[in-house]
Amino acid sequence: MAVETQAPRPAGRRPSAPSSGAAGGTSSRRRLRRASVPYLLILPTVVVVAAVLGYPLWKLFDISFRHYGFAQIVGGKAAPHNGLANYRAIFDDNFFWTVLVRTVVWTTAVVVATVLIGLALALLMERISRWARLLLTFVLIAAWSMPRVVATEMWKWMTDYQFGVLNYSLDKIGLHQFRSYNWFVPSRPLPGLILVGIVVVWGALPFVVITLYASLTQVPKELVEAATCDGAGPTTVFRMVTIPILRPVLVIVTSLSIIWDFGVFDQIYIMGDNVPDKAFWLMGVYAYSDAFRQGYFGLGAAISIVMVAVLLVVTVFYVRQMIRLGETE
Amino acid sequence: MKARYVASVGIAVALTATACGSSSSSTSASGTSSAAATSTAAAAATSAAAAATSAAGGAATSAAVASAAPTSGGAAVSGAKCANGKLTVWLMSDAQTGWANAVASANASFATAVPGCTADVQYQSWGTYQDKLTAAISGGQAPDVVEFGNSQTTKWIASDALSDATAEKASFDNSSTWLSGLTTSCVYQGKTWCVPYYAGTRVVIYRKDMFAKAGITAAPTTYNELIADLAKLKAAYASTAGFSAFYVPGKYWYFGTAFAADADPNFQIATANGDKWTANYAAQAAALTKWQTLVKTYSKADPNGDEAKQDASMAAGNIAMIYGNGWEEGVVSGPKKSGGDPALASQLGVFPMPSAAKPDSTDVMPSFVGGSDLAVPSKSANQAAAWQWIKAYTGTTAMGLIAKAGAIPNNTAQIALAKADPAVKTAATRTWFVPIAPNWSNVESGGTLQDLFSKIANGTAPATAAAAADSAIATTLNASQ
Repeated sequence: MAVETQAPRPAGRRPSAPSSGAAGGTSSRRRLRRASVPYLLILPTVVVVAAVLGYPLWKLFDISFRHYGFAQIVGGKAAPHNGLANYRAIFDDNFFWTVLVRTVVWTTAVVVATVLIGLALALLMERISRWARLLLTFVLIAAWSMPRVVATEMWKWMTDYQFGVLNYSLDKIGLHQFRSYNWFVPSRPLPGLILVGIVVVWGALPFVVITLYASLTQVPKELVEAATCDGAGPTTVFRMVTIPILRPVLVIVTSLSIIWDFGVFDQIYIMGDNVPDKAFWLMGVYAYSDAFRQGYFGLGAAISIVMVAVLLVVTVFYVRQMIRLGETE
Repeated sequence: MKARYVASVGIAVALTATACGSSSSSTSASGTSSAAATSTAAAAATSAAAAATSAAGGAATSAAVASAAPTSGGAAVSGAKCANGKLTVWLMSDAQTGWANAVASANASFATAVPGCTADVQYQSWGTYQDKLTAAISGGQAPDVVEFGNSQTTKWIASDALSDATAEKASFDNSSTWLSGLTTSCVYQGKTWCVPYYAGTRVVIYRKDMFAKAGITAAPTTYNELIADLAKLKAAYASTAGFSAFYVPGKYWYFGTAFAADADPNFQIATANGDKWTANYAAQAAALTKWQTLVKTYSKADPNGDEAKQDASMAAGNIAMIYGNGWEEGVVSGPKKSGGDPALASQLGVFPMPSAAKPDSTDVMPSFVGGSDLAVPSKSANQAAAWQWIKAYTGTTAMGLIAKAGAIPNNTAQIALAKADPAVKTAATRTWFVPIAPNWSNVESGGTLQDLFSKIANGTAPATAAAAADSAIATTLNASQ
């Protein structure tokens, strides 16, 4: 990936850099051998990544340029190249753009909520007593350790039209319109999308809170004290001291959240009774439905490639932050 | 197919994980077939003999292992072989819970017919088997025998995924009297590609105690009687919040479409003119309006929900009638842990849904022929042995056991054996079926029909909703494969 925009200072690890001027160039063969060691060391990783990620990605790319349908996958019929037909089909389809925009808006809202609530909880954890912190950590870990499919199924039960405890409770506190309330009605999709968003935020919080809390513990007390002595209020301390120290981790957490939420699938699929209405489709469900439900694997592959392209943009920030972190160490 | 999407979503996630691997083309499919391992034959034969003796209630197969005496159900030694001494069979879990003895009986006679080969029966769930099968076939691990919901077969046949059964047909027990509703789903371009397995039809399941409380003494036999009874029930339970005289979830397209099929005996959801499909719901707007009135007046079910939970809902109370498969009566009065209520066992009854088009006659409304077929994937390595297993499982002996378990057997000759209620058999006299179109399966899985009836249940004018659905159905059916 062409990411290294700000040329990294020659860190010692770069094999081609002349390691030390004094002893330089006694034997070119030894130099070659020394230079090749890092490559040999990284080779197993490269091989594994190429096999596990590279090959499927290549295959996905390849299928996205073919007429690859149900008959091709189960009947063994030939899968001829069809140029850009798959891409043209999705770009010409208004529904694709609807889903793309919906996904971007939804992802933005969910990521912002995840990070803000996560940050608030992490700050809370720093201030509460030891046992309360332990309790909160335990609750977070419990939520984290629940398999996502199981957890989503529980949410589905809780929000059931007839038997759901959520509707029941809302009815009991006086909101009687929720007595029999379907959260997933195609003609008013907002409640369903918000509900799925809540489920996703709920599932993402443990990782975000624990990561941010760990990072908060790294804020040196002396810095805070010094700032306070210089007359900074709590808000200023937070803005000028805490946030700059948290920033690298915040960037990573945000990037990862975007990547995960952009491709969300399980929550929508399960809560939509395995046949989510098109009004609730986000990109992940869209690609799955075209490929596996309708049998248009070529189209599904093309949609996935578009998703990969969009996520690559986000990855740029993530990788850049990782490189910066590497430099400061 | 029977809309029995059990909450088995877990596998769906596993499937997305296998998606990348499944693209590894088809080259390895035939590679494993050549290794016909005869070394395991002896071991397999002994275990088969054990299976034969333990299959109580089966045919007289227990002594047949050594003598190879020809009996009914294809128990003669056939000469078929299978690789690695194993034949992989995918059945839906209905067989496991409903008629395991029929499976055991078939396995026993299969062991006689194909010595040295044991049938490995693996149970699947409706919600995910097609995705699993796609992955298995494309990964070169095709099972040898597969059960299909009868509205799903055409897609697989048209994709060359199944083997031609035309030549084998005559050798199956009762093949001359196979149920027409199932046979239709197996015939494509003049050839037979699968074997009918069993069928089910839909009836009205009702609460006798609620009928009594409303002063109704007998189940209705005409549509007008039904409507009158519904009004009485609604009045008698006026003070019960959330009471449904007739519980109909909005997405229940099997019920809604029955009204269309009732109004026009020649109704097809879609018809083809050459290669061009057009859908026909809009022409039946009047019939759909009757369904809408019934739902809006007497149902408190979720207009945006589906019928998956209707049995549990009926068991929970406040529901006088539902429209469902004959066997759903047993689910409503089933064990509490599976959502039923055993206390209702004596309070449930069934009657065929009367015709709404002739509201004063005792004609029944056409019922969707739900059911299953058995097929052999074209990539199965054990074609001959697979047909032998299907022969045993659809043989007169095993079919008799299936019928006694409550399902409708695959042929009319044995239909009298069916334990099913007379109402179920009456309902089976008028039936409708989905179009035989390669892309039909995509219409079902795309949610178009659910959406149509959900809209109608929510109050959209049937003509408007039907016109939109017709155009969506036609687009899907006319899409290139």
